[in-house]
Order: sequence, then structure tokens, then C-alpha cells
Amino acid sequence: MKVETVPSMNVKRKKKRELHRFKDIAGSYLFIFPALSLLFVFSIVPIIYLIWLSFTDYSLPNPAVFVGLENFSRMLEDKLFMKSIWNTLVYTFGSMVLGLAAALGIAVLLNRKLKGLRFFKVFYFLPTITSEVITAMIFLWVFDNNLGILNYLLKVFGMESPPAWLLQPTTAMLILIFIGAWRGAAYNTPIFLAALQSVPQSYYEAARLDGANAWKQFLHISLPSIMHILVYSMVMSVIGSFQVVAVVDILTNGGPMDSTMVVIKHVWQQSFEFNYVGYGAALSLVLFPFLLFITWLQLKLSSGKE
Amino acid sequence: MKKTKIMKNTFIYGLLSIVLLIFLGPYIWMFMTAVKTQGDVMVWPPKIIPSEFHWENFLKIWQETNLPRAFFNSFIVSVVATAINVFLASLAAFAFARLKFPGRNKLFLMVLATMMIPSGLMVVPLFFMMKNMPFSGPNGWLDSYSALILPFAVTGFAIFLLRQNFLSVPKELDEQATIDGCNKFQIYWKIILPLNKPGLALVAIFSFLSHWNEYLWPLTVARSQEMYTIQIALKAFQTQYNIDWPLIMAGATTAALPMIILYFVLQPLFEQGLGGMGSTGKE
Repeated sequence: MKVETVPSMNVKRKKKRELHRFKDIAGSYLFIFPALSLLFVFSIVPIIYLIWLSFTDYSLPNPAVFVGLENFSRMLEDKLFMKSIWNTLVYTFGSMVLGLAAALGIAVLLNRKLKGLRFFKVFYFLPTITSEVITAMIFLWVFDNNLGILNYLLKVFGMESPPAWLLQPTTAMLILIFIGAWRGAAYNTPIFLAALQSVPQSYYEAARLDGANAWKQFLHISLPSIMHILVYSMVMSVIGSFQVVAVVDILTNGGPMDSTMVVIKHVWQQSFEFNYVGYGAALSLVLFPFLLFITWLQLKLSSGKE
Repeated sequence: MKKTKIMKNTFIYGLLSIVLLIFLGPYIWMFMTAVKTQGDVMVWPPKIIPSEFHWENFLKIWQETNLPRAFFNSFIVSVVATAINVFLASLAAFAFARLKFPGRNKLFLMVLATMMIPSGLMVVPLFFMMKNMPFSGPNGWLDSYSALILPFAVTGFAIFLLRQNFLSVPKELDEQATIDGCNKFQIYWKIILPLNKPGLALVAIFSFLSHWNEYLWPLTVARSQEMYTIQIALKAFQTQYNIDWPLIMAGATTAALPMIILYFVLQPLFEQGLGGMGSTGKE
């Protein structure tokens, strides 16, 4: 009898354990299922769909027609696309350099023990929480060539005919860069400050004993210690700036003479204003690897640090 | 020695004040314009502070424009999307941090991969997915809350950030709870969530902020004025009133205010979150 019961009990126990294990795994999947199904449907599926769309000629309300590589060959003759890429690169580079340099400078100013620094810090962050649309509206008014406050001040300081900022190609791009830098500086200042504050004080003390002045301390201690954060912020800034569109829409609508036409705006216009959906998709697809590479770089940098 | 120090400090405060003017000046100018009349704005030389504060621009915005409705829409969209993100992302993060199941690492890699997708380039295919959404009307999900909320509700970033947070909770707490008879959901609900309030708050804040300030996606899917979010309504409003600067600035002030208030109320959380921003990633 004993000989019989033992294996049957074992089988029972095994079955029970298996059932338990199955329940365990199923339960785990229940936790991830809602979030991952949303992510899958709205992040992975659109990429596949984008690839398909880019090989079609699609204008609403007609159905999509497969046209092979036609959209891509059309791209080579799209001068506005080339121009928009160039403009975006100029904007991205300009706003990144200016914004990050300003953020670093401000962070260095804030990185000391003085009364009331918190007050400044709190207000410096405001541009980050203000939307691009609102920001652009404010600056549209500030830079207005007739009634804008800036041109008034310039006249007060003796400039006889200050420029019509947003009506000339070069100055319009400069304003765009300025606004990008304004937002970027506000966003990155607390990040750089936190990084600076984490540099051990003993490094500075040692440098002071060696007779290094403030500038040398910054160059040889602060800067190398926060280099990884700096690189990270550069990558982040590129990703953000490359997708700029709201500020342009409000401020210049791509003008004057397409001088502020940026890539996402071009894609949007082709797809939704001119109804060349297939072409818009092809444009998106071409930009994809580039941004993907930068994002990959960013993830690599941020995870390599931990 | 002391004298040079005082001079140096004065110099630093001076620089800080100039920076403050650059960051805060535009807001002050926005507000000061909002309380002027159109006549005040035309005056030369311009007055920074108007001789009389005119609040009627704000009244006009509340009564005569589409902005209140857009406010309501933005509020619904941001709150619902935030709630979805906090709840669903934390559930998934709990599983990734605490449970063992086949394919866990591969699935987490997929989550990380979604963080790399530039949203600006997803607008075209997503629009047509919304349009062709099965089990819906001829226009699919276009012009609906579903389209405004769901596609960007759950973020890979939230799952990633919360998983990092959850991993730092000692495993012994889970084991003790299991001995006490808690199931997994109870562990998640009663132990992990309460211990990670700062992380959850950070996810909530950035979810809310990004939906409130989002421009391109609502511009694409909100077709009728009734479905405009605040950013889209502002743009339309600015086109409509063109040179009525006081009214436009009153609109901008009204739209900026909720985030500014939220920022000052939740000041410590913002500060805490930003220190971590540099090391965790983007929203």
C-alpha cells in the first residue's frame, strides 16, 4: 500500500505544483499585459505601418496605391526638404551650443553658498513648464517690429532703425535659436547644478593648495567631472531640437522665404496640408534612423553611468 | 579681504538678477500687456506698467472665446492619461522588478526600445491608425478623447523609471508579506506603491506636463473646435485675434497659469525630480 500511495501523492503534488506555476506565470503576465499591449499597438505597429505607407501613393479619400520607390526618388528633387534639413541642423546646433553654454554658466553661478539662491533657482525653471506655443506667443510680441518692447529698448539705447526681426531670414532664424536656447538653458541649469554639487569638495581644496585659480579649477575639475552629464544633455538637446515645430508654427510659420522651415513641419505639411500621405511617410522614414541613432546613443550614455 | 568678498557677492547677485530678467521678463511683459487696453499698447513710448489695470480681457476670454472648452479638454486628457500611465506603468514595472516569468528580459528590452522612437515621426502612421480604427465610426477615432489620450498615455520611460525605483525596495519586505498571506497584487498595492511615492509623483507630474503642453498630436487629431486642447485653441485664437495683443497675452497668461501654479505648489517634487532627471532619461 505504501508503495502505491507514495508515487500517487508525488504525481498529485507535481500536478499541483505545475498548476501553481502556471497560475504564477499567468498572474505575472496580467501585470504587464495592459501597459505592454498599449505600447505595442501605439509604438511598434505604427512603425510597420509607416514603412508600408512610405511605398504608397496615398491621398485622402482615395485608397493607398503601391508605387515602389517613387516617393524616395521624389525626395531627391525636393529642394524644400533639403532646405528644411539644413535649417533644422542650424537651429539644432545653434540652440544647443547657446543653451548648454548658458546653462553651464548659470549653474556655476548658482553653485555656491549664498543667501537667496533658491529664489533665483525657482524662477529660472519657469520656461521649462511653459508650453512652446505660449513661449512663442510671448516672443512674437516681444520681437514685434513696430510695438515690441525689444525694439523700443533698442531705440532708447540709440539704435535708429532696429531690425524687423521676424521678417528677415537671418534674424528670424536667430530668434528661433534664441528661443530654443532660452528653453534649453532653463531646462539644463538644474541638471548641471546637481552634477556640479556632486563633485567632492576635497578636489577643489587640493587644487587650491596647488594654487589653481577659479578658472583653472573649473577647467580641470568641474568640467571633467560633469562631462558625462554634458554629453548626455547634448544628445537630449539634439533629439528635442530636431523635432521642433510648435515654436515655428506660431512665430514664423516656416517663413520668411522658408528660412525657418524645419523637417517635422515639412513632413506635416506634405502629409496633412497637401495630402501627400505616402510622401510624408517616406520623409518620416528617412529621418527615422538618424534620430534613432541619437536616441540609442543617449540611452547608452545614461545607462553606462549607473 | 572682506571688502573684496562683498564686492564679489554683489557682482554675483547682479549677474543672477540679469539672468532673472531674461527668464522672468517675458512673463512680466506678457502679464502687463494682458491688463492693458489696445489703446495702451499703441502708446509711444510704451508703458511697462499700465496706468490702470484692465481685467476685462480675462473676462472676455472666459465668455467669448473657445478657450474654456479647450481648458476642459486639456484637463480631461492630461488627468486621464496621467492616471493611466501611473497605474499601468507601475503594474508593469512591478512585474519587471519583482516577478519571474518567461520572456521577461526580452519584453523589457521592447519597452526600452519604445523609448527610442521619436514621437514627431510617428504622427503620420498614428493618424491613419486612428482614422482606420476598427469598431468605430467613419472617421475612426479622429476627433475623440480616445485619440487624444491613448496613443501616448503609457510611456516606456515611466516603466523604466518605476522599475528602477522598485528594485531599490528590499526583497525581504515582499517575502515577509507573502508569509503574512499577501498575494502579488497586495504586495504591489500595499508595499511597493506606498514606498515609492516620490517616483510615482515624478511620473505623474511629467505625464501631466507633457500632455498639457503637447502640440503636434492634438493638432493632427483634434479636427473640430469642440475637441481642441488648450495649445491648439491658443494657436487658433492667436490667428483669429491677430493684432489684439492685450487679448492674446491674456489668453497666454490664462493658459500658462495652471502649470505655473502647479509648479509652485509642487515645488519640492519638481526639485527632487530634476536632480534625478539627469541620470534617468527623458520624458
